Amino acid sequence: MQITLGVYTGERAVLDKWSKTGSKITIAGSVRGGIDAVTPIVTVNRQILPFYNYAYIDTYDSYYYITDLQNNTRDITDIVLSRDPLQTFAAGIKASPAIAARASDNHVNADYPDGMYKTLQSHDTSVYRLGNLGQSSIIIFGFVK
Amino acid sequence: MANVINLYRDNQCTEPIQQIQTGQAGIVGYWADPSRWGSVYTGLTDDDKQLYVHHAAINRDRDGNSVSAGCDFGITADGGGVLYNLQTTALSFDVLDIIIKADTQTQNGGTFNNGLFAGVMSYDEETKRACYIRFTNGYYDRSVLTQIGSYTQTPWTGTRQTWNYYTDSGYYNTQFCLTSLTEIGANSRFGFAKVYSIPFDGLDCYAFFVGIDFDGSINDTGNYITDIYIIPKALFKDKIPRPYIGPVSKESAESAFITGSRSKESVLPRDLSVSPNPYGFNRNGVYLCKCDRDSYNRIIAQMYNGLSGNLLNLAGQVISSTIGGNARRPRDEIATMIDGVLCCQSVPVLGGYPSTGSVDLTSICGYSMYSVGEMLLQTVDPIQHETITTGIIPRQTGNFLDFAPYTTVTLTIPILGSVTIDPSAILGRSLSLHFGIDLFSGVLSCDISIIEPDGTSWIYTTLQGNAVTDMPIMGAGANANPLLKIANGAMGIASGNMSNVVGGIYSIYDGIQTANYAAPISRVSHTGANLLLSPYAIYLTVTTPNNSNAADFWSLAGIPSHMSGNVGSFTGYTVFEHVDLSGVSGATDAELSEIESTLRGGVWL
Repeated sequence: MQITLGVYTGERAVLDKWSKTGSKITIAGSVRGGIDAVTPIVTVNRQILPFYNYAYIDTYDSYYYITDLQNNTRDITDIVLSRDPLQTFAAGIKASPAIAARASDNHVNADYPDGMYKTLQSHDTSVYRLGNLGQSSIIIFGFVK
Repeated sequence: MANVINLYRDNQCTEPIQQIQTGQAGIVGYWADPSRWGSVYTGLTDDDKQLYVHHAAINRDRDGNSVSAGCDFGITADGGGVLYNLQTTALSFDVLDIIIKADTQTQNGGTFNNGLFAGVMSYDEETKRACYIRFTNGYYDRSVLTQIGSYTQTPWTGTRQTWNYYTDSGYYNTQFCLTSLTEIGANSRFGFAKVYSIPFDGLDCYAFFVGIDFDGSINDTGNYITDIYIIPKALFKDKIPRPYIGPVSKESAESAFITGSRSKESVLPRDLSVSPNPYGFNRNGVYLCKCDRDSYNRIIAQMYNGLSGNLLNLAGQVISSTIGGNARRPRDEIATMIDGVLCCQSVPVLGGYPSTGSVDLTSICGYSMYSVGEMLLQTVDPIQHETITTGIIPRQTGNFLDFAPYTTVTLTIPILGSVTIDPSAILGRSLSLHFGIDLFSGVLSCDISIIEPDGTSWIYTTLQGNAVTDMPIMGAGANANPLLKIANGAMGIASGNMSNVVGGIYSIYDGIQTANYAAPISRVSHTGANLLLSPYAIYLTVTTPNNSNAADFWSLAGIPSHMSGNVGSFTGYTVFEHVDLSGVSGATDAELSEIESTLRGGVWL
């Protein structure tokens, strides 16, 4: 099997991490123990530097967080992995219907009451003068013949 | 200033018959007897920008008596007193403004009366002759006016002319003398100076006509136009109030209206405008109204500007005027007629008061109003309407803070008070204020309407009030008359001698009582003298809270959405409140739970 290692430095709560993952290397490895697509341990015949934190295994077509690197001998390393379901199932997630409570770029309704937004007790006041009524007195004298 | 002046015989200014140099006189036309009727000098400079005029010298009437009527209008020594020599002075509105104002001795004065005519008045104490402003308003055939020196008094039976308006604003007459042919009597001899104004078709000029009329009694054989002033419109350009189109002023929140707040310049509406002109609300003054016994339909109103001064003028004239000669003294006339005095402090009146039509003052009014200042004669429909429409009232924050309970919107209308408007109803929309007022009762209503962006409108609410302050004129109530107090105070300042006038006023009142006149002292509903303290401006205040959120709050925390769609249709930071992951295949239950938990907690898409 082939495993691609990389370095991801962004938020975990991101669906598309792989495109933002850098320093990728692909090496051959073997799964230790039985088949476990969720939390596999992959053994590779080389020493792996500890800055790798994200991986892709083509056999499982899954993306993983590297949770541990165990260099058992000089040229053998066990890579302990934990599957990232957001990236692995991103396509399915994106197709899922949902209702958003908050959004930032689109599908927003700024007029919707926001209990999180903070306001001060002070106010801005804008005053618009729309016109005037008559500005001096009018006296009406009634005359009756 | 050009040196050459073209003189015209005709009011179309098409055929100059003479050219004169500045300062020289030219004669355009004579009347039958120049020694009596004088002559007219008119002229435009060769660039048609300035007007030089001379007067019509009316030395005496047909009875051989000296008459000064009209002679003081830019006059030379052969007239009834030199006020201003326009022969060497370009006639601009500034000059005209001066010369039409009253002279305290001759009581000459004039007014631009709703643009329909200008006037010059004179009163000759010796001959008891007075001149007055005659209503025209298209009453006479304009074509007749081309015949300098005379016109026909036959009522115009053709298509009524559309008269271009000047303005009454800013050219207030301070003295005004008026006689009534009917009331004075058939044997009285009064000269009438008339000033008419008409637009010249095809020329950028207006013309003022000063006419002399006689009372139709002994030896009265005709009417005469004495002066014709042709004035380029350009001279009026900056003098005629224009409808105000543009941004409304945004008063500082530190103004007297609102204290302790801050103005928000960032939300100044650039496109907010009002129409029609707020000027249209400034038709103020004193109304003298007369109504016959049968109905109010024949009421005409005279409108005067100013509060204390005009009242004083009126009071003074009522007390001291001797105008009228053998006729009844005006104080007697008025004493028998005063029915009530109402003070309408602030009133939404149409930009143009109702036209007088062809109403003849002498036949309708039948009484004289003496020297009470600027006058506008009106055949008043007591029910007046006016509408103000604003531009779009802008939203202040663009988010939920624009609405209640965060934002408050208050509309303040003089007399009617303040009304709170739901900000969601008005922000982003336009406002329409439709006023209706009964001028004779003071009942004022205002329909506040919201105009949607698509132009449809709906009435939000209606306010009602009363714009009239009842002014007691009899008994103890008069002592509490706030207007009189103001007038007294003003007069006391001006002359230090208010007791005479005040005493005179009361003596009139007493006279009314003594005569046991019906004097019903009609009263209408009112809201009291406190109206005198009412502000005049209509204000809309929008108060919005300040926010205290950290920068980038919305980019980090998101904006409320409550909108649905596939997860992939959202971008940026999104917090989901509901998500259906049944379509996600291959994930374990634990992973599905993790996915849902993450989506609910906020995810970057």
